[in-house]
Amino acid sequence: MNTYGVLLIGGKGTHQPTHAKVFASDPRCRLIAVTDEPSVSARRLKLNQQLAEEYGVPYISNLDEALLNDDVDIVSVCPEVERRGRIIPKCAAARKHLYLDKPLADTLTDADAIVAAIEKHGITHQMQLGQVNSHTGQAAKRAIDTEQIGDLVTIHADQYFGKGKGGTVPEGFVRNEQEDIKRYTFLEAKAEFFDVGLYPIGLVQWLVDKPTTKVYAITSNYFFAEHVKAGIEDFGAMAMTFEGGVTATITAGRVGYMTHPMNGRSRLTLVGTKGVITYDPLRPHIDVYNDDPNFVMPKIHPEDPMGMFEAQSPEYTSMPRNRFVPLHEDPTDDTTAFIDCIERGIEPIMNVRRGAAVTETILAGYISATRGEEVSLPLPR
Amino acid sequence: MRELELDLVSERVASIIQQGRLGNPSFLRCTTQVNKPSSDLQTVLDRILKLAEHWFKGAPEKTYHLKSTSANVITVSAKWTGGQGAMISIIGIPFDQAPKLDIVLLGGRGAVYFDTDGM
Repeated sequence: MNTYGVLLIGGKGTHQPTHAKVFASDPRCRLIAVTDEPSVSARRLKLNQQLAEEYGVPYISNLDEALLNDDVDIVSVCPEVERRGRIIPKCAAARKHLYLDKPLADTLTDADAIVAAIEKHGITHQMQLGQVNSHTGQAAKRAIDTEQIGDLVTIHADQYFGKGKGGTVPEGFVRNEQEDIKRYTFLEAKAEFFDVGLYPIGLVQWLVDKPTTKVYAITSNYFFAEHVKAGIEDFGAMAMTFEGGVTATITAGRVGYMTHPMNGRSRLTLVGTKGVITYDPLRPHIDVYNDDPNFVMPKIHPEDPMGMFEAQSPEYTSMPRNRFVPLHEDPTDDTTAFIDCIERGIEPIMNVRRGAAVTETILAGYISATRGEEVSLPLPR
Repeated sequence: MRELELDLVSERVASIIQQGRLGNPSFLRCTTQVNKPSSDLQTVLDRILKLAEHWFKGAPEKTYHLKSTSANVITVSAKWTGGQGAMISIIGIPFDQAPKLDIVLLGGRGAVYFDTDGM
């Protein structure tokens, strides 16, 4: 069995601790170091160093230097999305296998540059999008491939994150979208059509497996004052048309801790010429009721009020929501699926081209939401 | 549509809204399967839109109809001047299959789920 050296870009306060946990516990991998660009803020530096300390590995403050290390086989790339356009091509040029946090990029230019760099160097790579390897995602793909519902007509997909303290949007606030968005990531919130919408959009695009040709989207602020203050949306909905005529709708966002018995709705409905199938990780499920306390909203961390990342101290840790036990478990997690692909020499499902298509579709969605009209894809370069 | 008990759903949800349990009702996601040929899809869509109008207290400012190659599916996205939104899809199914209603109504501080197939 090979042992892959793993370099982590980005630390606490990102999704990297979640990925690092999987890499560290996989016997095929060993963590080498944590690194980032030398120009990161003092806060980011501290959070990166904290992750390195947790795993007892060095922190290398110069990414270029870290990439020269021959012991590194895999790079887990998790900086803020606004920095990915310059970091990922560097990692590709170093010819490492790349595990890429989602979304791939925040601009079309960056997405195209990332695709070109990765495809030039022919490395194994995967953008994080666990739905494609989930039990429901795989079952849906089989249903389409085996024509269980005849020819695919339309798909409806929803992904809601049950986190954050809702009910704080100023009374009467109505969102007016801006198509020229400069920033998606803030300390207290992220643009959720961009960040959560990516999951159902990526899942649907993989299932249909044809280019998206048109979108119509609406974006909104329904739940959180933090998103209003940052000028970003907390919810979005989009209608999509694909080459060949298949259609889809997605709805996605962060909807608050107390809006769902578990972690939020995640539902997929396939409509074909011969039938309809609905997939939901909680259907079927086993109900468990006992004298364990019911879920209550965790204490809100001032630097992560949306509960986006692993709690940095126990007082902010969320209680488990385990009244429902899904009957089916996912066959693998996203990071393990990536390591499996390297081992077996196969291309991961969520490759960079699919990741870039998701980015382009979301950007088209913002344009549509701004103009209140249908937008055609591909977007002009 | 009597089998989907839309009138009852409409009033029960309106009561929940009135009690303030959702905060401001903001977004409706509805996927409904109805029997063809007995139910006309457009008629069902109009009834679901009426539900939304009842809960959002007004008619939408703008609607978008997603064109489909199939006559068995109609989908509408709607937006209200107050920012509320809806994504509604009606699917025609054969007469020997059970009609289904899957509704999510999101509010600022809560949500309502009604799914005739169970959560």
